[in-house]
Amino acid sequence: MTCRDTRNAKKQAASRAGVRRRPEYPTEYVRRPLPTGAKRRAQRQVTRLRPSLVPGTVVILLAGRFRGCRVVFLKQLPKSGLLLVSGPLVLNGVPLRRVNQAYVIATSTRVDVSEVDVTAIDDAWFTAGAAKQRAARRLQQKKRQAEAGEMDVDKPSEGRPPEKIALQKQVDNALLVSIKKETLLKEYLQSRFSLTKGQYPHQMKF
Amino acid sequence: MAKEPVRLYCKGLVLGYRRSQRRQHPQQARVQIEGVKTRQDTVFYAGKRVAYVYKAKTEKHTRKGTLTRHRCIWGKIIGAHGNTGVVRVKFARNIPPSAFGKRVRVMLYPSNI
Amino acid sequence: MAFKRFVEVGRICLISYGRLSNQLCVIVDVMDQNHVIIDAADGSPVQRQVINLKRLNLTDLVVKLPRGCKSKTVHKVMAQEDVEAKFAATAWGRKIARQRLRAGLNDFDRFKVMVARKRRSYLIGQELGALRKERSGGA
Repeated sequence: MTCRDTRNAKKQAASRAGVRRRPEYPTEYVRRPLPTGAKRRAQRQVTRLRPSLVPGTVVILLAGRFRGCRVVFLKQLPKSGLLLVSGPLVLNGVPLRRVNQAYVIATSTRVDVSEVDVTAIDDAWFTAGAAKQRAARRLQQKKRQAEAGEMDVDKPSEGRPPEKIALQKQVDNALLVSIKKETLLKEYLQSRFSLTKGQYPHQMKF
Repeated sequence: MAKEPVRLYCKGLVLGYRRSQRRQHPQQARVQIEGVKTRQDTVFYAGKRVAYVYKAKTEKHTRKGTLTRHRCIWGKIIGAHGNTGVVRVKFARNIPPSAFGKRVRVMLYPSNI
Repeated sequence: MAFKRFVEVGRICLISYGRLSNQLCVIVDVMDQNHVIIDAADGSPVQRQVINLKRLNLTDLVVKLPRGCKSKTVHKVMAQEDVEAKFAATAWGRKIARQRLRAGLNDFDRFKVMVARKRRSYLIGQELGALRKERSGGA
């Protein structure tokens, strides 16, 4: 008989005799479900931004349609944690827009945004009417396909509701006041960022 | 395809797979980024996305619905390789050996500046 | 023209390699064909050390130093001779200063430099055009 056999035999005998086996593991552990995605997000409250990102920072967009554009960071949107930026639209064609902080370079240039009122803008401001817009765009696309050949790709902007246009103007005007205070800042925002020969981002200061 | 108006990536060169004398690790490719000379320099590029853009014979649909010959394999920088600024990149699909010696684009995102 | 930049005690050099590159230093003693002892002005990050000549660039400047003198003496002489300012006034010094300045520029500053450069080449082009015209008109 090996050692293990002896132990098993003892155990069996004990259970047959109705003696409760001593639990081998503590049972105090209470299973608590881990918070699911939405709950965890609620706990975390707000996405933490890099310290270089302060409202008023000029940021360089790195991807998407407006890649290379220098835009002004206005505020962080509380729910999604995304950055609210504006070109301003009149300078470089970038409208009020949400971007992820991973897709921007924060420069050390700052614009005074204390006079810019963006309290009305939150995530819902962007998503409201989005479905309608999408449907309109689809309709247009169909129309375009039907017409076939007559391309007018840049039309979706006509679907922009007037109140959004008004707010964009209001934000831009307030921004422009502080932008004009610094020489060349306007031209700077109008220009696009690009890497050139001999420029290595790990050595550069932004 | 018209040249993009701005270059927002660093130029990288695919050197080969990660390997030892008699073994290859095709899951990881070694990439040399222009201007990156030391291991310390590579810290900036850790986690950055890498794109191997190439031209193929057959045209494929893009997401926009247009046809294009250009294709892309995406990857991510996973760490330094040695002390001379070479990095290891993991591609979504292992990069083909025909890519050795070819250009890759090292994107500036995810950014931490 | 005779050769004038010698490896000698009191020769002001630039370190060309590593962390201390582009820092000024002075030769205090010569060890052998390849190595010298260097020291630097007070407050410089360069410490008294033996260094390979391959890592030094010799400048035209020399100060009078006793061979193998103490750091204290070196500090005094470097301050007296105002070596830093003298070097900064040379073309080489100006180049290094410019490189340092350029490296420290942020994105907006780089943009401003670009604008200034464009303006300069525009002005030069105009002037050149005018001169050309003058010349072809004269001929």
